[in-house]
Amino acid sequence: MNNMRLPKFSYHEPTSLGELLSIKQELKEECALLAGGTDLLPMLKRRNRIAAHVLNIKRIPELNTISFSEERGFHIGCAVTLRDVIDHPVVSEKYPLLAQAAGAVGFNQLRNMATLGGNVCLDNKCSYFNQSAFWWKSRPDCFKRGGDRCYVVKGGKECFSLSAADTVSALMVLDADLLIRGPGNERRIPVKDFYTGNGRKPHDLREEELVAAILIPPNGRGWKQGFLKKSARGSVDFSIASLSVRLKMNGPVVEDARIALNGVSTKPVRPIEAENYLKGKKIQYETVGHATETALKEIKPLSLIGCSAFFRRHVIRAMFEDLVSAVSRA
Amino acid sequence: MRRLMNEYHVIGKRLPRIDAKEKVKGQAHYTDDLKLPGMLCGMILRSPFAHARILKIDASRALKVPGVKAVITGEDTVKVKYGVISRSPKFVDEYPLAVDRIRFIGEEVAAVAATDPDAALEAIELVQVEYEALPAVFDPELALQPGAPQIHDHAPGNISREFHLKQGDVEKGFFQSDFVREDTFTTQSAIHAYLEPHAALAAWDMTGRLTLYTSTQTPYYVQQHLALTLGINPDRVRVIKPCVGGGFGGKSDGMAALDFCAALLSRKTGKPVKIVYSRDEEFTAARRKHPVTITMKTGVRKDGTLVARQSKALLDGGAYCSLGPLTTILVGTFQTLPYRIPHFQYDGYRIYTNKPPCGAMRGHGGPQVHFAQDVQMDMIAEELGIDPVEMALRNGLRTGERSAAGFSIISSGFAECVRRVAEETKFGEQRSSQKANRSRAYGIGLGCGGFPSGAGFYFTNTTSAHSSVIIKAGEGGGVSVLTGASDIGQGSDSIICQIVAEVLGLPLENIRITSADTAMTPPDMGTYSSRVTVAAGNAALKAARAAREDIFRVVAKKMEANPADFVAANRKIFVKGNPEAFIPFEEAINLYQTENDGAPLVVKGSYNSPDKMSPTYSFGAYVAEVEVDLRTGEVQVIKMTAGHDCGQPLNPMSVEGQVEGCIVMGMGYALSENLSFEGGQTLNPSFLGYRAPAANQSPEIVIHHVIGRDPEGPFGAKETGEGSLDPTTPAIANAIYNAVGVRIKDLPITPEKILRELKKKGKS
Amino acid sequence: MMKKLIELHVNGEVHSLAVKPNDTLLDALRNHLGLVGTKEGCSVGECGACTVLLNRRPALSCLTLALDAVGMEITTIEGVSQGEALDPIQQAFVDYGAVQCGFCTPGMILTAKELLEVQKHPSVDEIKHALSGNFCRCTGYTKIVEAIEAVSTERRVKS
Repeated sequence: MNNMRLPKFSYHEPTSLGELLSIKQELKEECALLAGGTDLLPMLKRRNRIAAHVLNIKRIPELNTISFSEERGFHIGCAVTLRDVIDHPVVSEKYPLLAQAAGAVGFNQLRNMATLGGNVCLDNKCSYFNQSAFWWKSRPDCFKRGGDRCYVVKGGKECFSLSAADTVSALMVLDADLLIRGPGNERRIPVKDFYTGNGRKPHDLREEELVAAILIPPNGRGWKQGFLKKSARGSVDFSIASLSVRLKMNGPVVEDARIALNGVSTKPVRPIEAENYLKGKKIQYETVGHATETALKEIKPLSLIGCSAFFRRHVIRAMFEDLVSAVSRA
Repeated sequence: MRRLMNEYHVIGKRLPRIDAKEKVKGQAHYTDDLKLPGMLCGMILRSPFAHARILKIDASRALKVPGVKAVITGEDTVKVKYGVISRSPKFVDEYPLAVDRIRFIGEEVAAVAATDPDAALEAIELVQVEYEALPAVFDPELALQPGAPQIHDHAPGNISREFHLKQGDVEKGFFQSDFVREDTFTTQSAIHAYLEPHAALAAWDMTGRLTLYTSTQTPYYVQQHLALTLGINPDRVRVIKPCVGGGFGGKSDGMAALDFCAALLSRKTGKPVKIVYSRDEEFTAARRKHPVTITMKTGVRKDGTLVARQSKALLDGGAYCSLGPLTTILVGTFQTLPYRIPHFQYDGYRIYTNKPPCGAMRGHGGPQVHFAQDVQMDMIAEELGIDPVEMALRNGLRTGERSAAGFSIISSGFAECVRRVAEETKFGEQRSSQKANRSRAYGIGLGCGGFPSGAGFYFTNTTSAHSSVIIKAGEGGGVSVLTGASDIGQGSDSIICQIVAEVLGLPLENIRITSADTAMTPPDMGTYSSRVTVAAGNAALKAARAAREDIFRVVAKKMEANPADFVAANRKIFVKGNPEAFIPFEEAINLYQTENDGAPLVVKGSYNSPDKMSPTYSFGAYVAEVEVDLRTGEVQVIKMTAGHDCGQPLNPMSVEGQVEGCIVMGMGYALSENLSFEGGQTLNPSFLGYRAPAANQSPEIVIHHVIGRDPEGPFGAKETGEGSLDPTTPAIANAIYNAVGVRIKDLPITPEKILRELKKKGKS
Repeated sequence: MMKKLIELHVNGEVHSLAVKPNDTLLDALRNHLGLVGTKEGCSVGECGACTVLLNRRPALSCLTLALDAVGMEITTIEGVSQGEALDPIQQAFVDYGAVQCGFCTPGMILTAKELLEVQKHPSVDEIKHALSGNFCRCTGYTKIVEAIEAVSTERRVKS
């Protein structure tokens, strides 16, 4: 009975991907895709998004499938919930990193509703942007609202909203691809290429397209993996940083490395130079430290309310120290 | 635990709350759960400006929205100001709906009633308000400067209230001291964050009488304020408090804007109107805790004995008074608990700023004060080379003493609290051992406090007793209790029933209670100042004893015995030592009625605090054990060991629940809770942004009940609801210092602040 | 915005109601079906007071459209006890003093119920983690955790 009402909209429940794509194409930017709703509904209630049409994608069978084969790897439909990903026996056996990352999103109830596709397509977050319609009456609009300024970086010339999704770094180090479907086309891109770094339009996704599935290649032999998220209260908050690491070890020496972070900047980061540095090295305090400093130069962490770049840097350092050693020992 | 508890049959027992069963079944009704036929939905329009004149309001477009039944603005009101401290005209500074000026972002400007929330929301958006922006000021120091925008015409220099207190001679005291130090501490804007938002449901009857259901701690004050601002006699206003989902002082101002708006909209439309705040509205516009800058100059002898304290405090009051004028006093007087300070001086100033008004929040000045005081005590102890435990014991107030502010300490278990927690945690040993590795350090710290167990006077001018209770016994042997006391989740209904059950020798299930309905229950000040157990409890005790006396008289007459020899226990009335010759309670009630021409047994009991400040005081000492990540500054509170003196815990399980809740709230206050502002605008008006602790952060808590028998409290009981908060924050702050040698005097102690200090010291 | 007639399966019963597309499941439960045990604490999915079980898993009804809940098995707090008898978790909340103001209680109980179904004997840390989406301001969580632990221990003793 309070004033946080969803706006008025028309509701659609397509039952096939074809139907979804054709409705979407017809309605173009007036429509919002409803998966878990845990990101969309708060944004609609706050009028961060305006959508005259809401399309529920959860009744489309092919978006709900989750299948695995030794040759092709994992195919996870975009509407599969994080909970179902975590509970999937193959995930815990072969991709524990993904289970950990999905398990770090929000809290219990959110994970039961939120989907992997929704997490991958999470809009960039900002403590200014994600405020209510009433709140925005007190100040001029920011870039992300179609205005002319950024409140995070005073004097900034672009939007500095944060790429926040926790599963993304895991998908990146797992060399995952996204299957993107449009009305007449289909394309497959590596996860890392999906993120533009443009706070206003953070995803490489055309209006008529949607991310239909997440494709994870088979896990090569000899890779160890780990995930770590740090947030203000240890679980419920968006991250200070979420870090995923995969290491291919040859005894004590790193043969190959994959590192990715999200929650630190306008898009996720793969610190390639840090990865390259680790190759051929032993995991010990000095080498991890050097890799961390290299990575930090590549990351350029953002300052936000409640989490300055200074603090974020230190947290990332500690995370590297803790996670890389843990993974190498696993 | 001492074995005093064995002498009672319900007092001192770990009994479930009488309303727990309906709450676990989802059958307890809070205000938003209530529905009346034809009910309309109300919503409030708020100002987006921090300081502005209202030039014009045009509601014509709003009224055209289908389903909209009424729109009200300040022009529809009698334009009478109200304020919770209504007996002092200079603290009465607020209109329920802005009349010509708004003074903070979020202030209430208009309200609509419609058949459904979507229509109401659409209408709110269409009310056109023309504002003329005025210069605004957000910082209390700046607000004091000459030339600063004047927020209230009656308050030059934006001083909402100043308070000065002097006891002894501080200059003489400093001269006598071996060691003097001065420190300044700052505390943040924190908020109650109760889970149930404000809600109000108003309906008028055919004779022009209002009934208002509202989520409040102070229904009696709501009644008075509504009468005043609606221009009607208070007896035509009935305020009923349903179940309340937490208050913590945020619902203790009496009337809130939504109460008034619901009432006025209901009168205008002829239909019941319900208004419920959203969480955004709560965090943007509702009352919150005063941020305080407090300077303490303290002189001690070299053995750690306190000699003198001179203190100055600046309170950021926000745009209206609320309970702030009282907070201004308490930030001074609470410094005189729990320690003896022979020479004391306090100068406190509450400043208006163009931000949402600050009122009372659990502890009401205590958390700010005890943070500062006990961190400084820890600093003094370190410099003198004395154990903080020893300092606390040396300076702690004892039974029979009077604090520097005049608090009469009629019972103090403070020393026992300190000894117990120090012993249990091996405090001295732990504190001096260094426990750190490359990434983590462990520390232990002490925090102390004391708190009034009651208030001394009403905020209104009234002849009513502070608390009164009426008891009525039925022919079936059941007992009904009527009390004005407000159970907001702290369990006062249960405690009052326990007291009555104990006196009358009945099981708890035989007692029915009706509370906080101003048409039915006698006046009561309300739930604040931790007064309910002592005040309403004593009123219930008196009433129950009066009932028992009436019963004993008729039974004694029948049994030809002396009324003074009787006992009421196990639903029986009998002569002490002769339980077989009993009369069942139910029969005794009917005997009474027979002896009194059928008149029912109805008795009353009232209580007024004998002391104009508070009848008695609780005490506490806590030890915090923390782990600090040296690389990031992150703090985890591993364990809190609490020693709490509330006299006789009437229900130890309830007492523990309060202590545990206070500890987690104090932990949030110490480490993460903060409402940040920019240009008068709240930057994080949400649970996610505010960062009160979640379940995964809850530490291990061990509670030691230090049991005594307070002379004033019912069955010797004292408060627990607020005093249990104060020792938490300083204990954690001191533990952090013990772990990493970093002293932060500015709340909250965030990881970043710790990290920056560590960097400065070259320790990270 | 037209209302649509739907059927919702709540606590084992089928209910017919007319809802707007922008009505949440929380709105439908409280305002249409009179099931007011599920509470609204924040409206944006940050406090857990609106927790219900959807297909036996805890979910936030303030972030679920009523139209989207069609076809789901919905359990609210009203569906937890069978008649007068309390579910063991409810009884434990009563006995262990885990209820103060009671506003978080329905959500806590539903979350706890599912926890104990999927994890027979969770550790204290696992209980706290499972409850991290259910905010409580009164209890400090301590007795809530104790109550849940007690049910888990009782079950272990019985089996």
